Amino acid sequence: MTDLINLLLDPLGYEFMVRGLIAALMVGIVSAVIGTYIVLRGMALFGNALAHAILPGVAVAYLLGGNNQSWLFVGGLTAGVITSLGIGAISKGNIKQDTAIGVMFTGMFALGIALISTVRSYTVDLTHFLFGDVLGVSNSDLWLIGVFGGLVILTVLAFYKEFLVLSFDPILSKTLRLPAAFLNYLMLLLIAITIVLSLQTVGVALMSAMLVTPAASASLLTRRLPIMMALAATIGALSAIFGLYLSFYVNIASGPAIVLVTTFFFLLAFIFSPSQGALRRFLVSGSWFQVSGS
Amino acid sequence: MEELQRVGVLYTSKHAKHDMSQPILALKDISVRFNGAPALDKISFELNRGERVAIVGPNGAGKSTLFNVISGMLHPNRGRVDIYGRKPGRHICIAYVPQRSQVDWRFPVNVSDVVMMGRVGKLGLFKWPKRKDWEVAHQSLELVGMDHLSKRQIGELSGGQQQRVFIARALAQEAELMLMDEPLTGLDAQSQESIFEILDKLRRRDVTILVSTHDLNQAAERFDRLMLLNRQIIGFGQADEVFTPELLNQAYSGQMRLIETPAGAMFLGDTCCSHGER
Repeated sequence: MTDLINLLLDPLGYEFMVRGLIAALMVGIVSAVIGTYIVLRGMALFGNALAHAILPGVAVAYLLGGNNQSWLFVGGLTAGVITSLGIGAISKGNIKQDTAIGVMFTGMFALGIALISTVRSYTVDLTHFLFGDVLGVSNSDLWLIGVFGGLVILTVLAFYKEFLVLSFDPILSKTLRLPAAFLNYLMLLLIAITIVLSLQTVGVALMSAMLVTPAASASLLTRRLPIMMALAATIGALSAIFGLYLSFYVNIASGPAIVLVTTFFFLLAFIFSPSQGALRRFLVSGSWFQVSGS
Repeated sequence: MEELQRVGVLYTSKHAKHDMSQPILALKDISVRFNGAPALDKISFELNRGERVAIVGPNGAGKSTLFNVISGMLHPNRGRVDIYGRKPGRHICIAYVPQRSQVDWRFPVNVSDVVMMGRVGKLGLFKWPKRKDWEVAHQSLELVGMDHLSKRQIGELSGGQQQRVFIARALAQEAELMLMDEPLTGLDAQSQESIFEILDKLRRRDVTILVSTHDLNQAAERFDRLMLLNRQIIGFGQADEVFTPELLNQAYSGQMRLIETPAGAMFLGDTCCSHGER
């Protein structure tokens, strides 16, 4: 018993581990909550693209201001907003939306890498942006994540029923005369903020796992939106904690460790979900996968 | 600018007032073009309060486009729509009951969640449902005979039950004009009958109903008036005025066959229709 307690407490003796845990925990919760809408609206591709596309903004801020977090935040957010608008503008013409996403995301990502490659310590910095550096989180970073993460959650709660209508039935949002375009942009802004906040925990390359995987796991476990959000947040939080401990004891990079744990949770839900799991389907119908669409 | 107004309307809950001396719905000279091709051409008609009207016409006749124009989702290239004498932009008394194939039935909501969505327009921003809203939702479900299934996930319902939930949502919206896109398609006879029972109840509440359908017999028997549509209004009125060989042939030319038999003219087959038209 004392072994187990020591196992849990030992890492907390290091201040960087405590800060990392708090940061990962907050990011895990916020991205899982906003990720619920990403999963329900089929925006996973968009979320992944937006995560990569903040890189040039982060790079410019980095070249100008070094590792100043508020610069990185503003830079990343600016690039995120520009990309969202760009994808919207391109897909209004004769280009399909997933094509527009493909074009914008790789273009912005390449620009980001190109900008960072002008610095001599190129590979180390790039690795941090790509895969996160949660153990390098400072106290001011924690404040930034706490304040803006809290704002994201509060906004989701404040617009809960409007976002629900918009996600379930866009036509209803029009006949109820809701400001659908405003709500759409608001949601994109919340996604962009969340992505920039997650930059240090998992990095741009693995970010969409934090957005999509906890919510996808939760969707296999419940058929109610509020419960799905709460479950996703719980899975996001647990992944952050277990992932960091895993990284501490097995000595692997922290970002991938967190993502591996959340993927493991997804597999558990996929196989063992009491209502929708593959195991139940197998026991009931003798087939591992559902044949019919509904 | 319109968007800003809508945000404002959400705060103040100021929706359009009704001038009851005007018809509930009046279209004047509506034309819609998609990429230059006419989808609707000089559509003009009026509906009276409490009326039940069926729109029939071949695939691509513009039925869904017409619904989109009436509900204010699509701006026509020409003409105007009036709801009780005013533009539809700020009315929330129009409800659109979607085709079942348009709905994501796996979405994590139950029956009462869906019905409560109809109240969102009346509630306004930052407000949660109050006792009155729950009552309205409950009564709406009662009217369509679905109150005993209010906690059921929507994907677990039968087709007829799903259709009734969306009618309940329109009721919770306090809609006075309901646009129903093929509500009867794919339902068995018994479920269709229960939908008509609900439509009868709605008539007693003076709800005006516009239904698109592919079943000409049902349209002739169960509706007050019929609109025969193929980009233009080919005919509008009682069944015996509209379902004449000339008009039907004009509307369905190519998609329907007119056969002369000793007993009279016979029409064969509206070539339709499980996917709907978009």
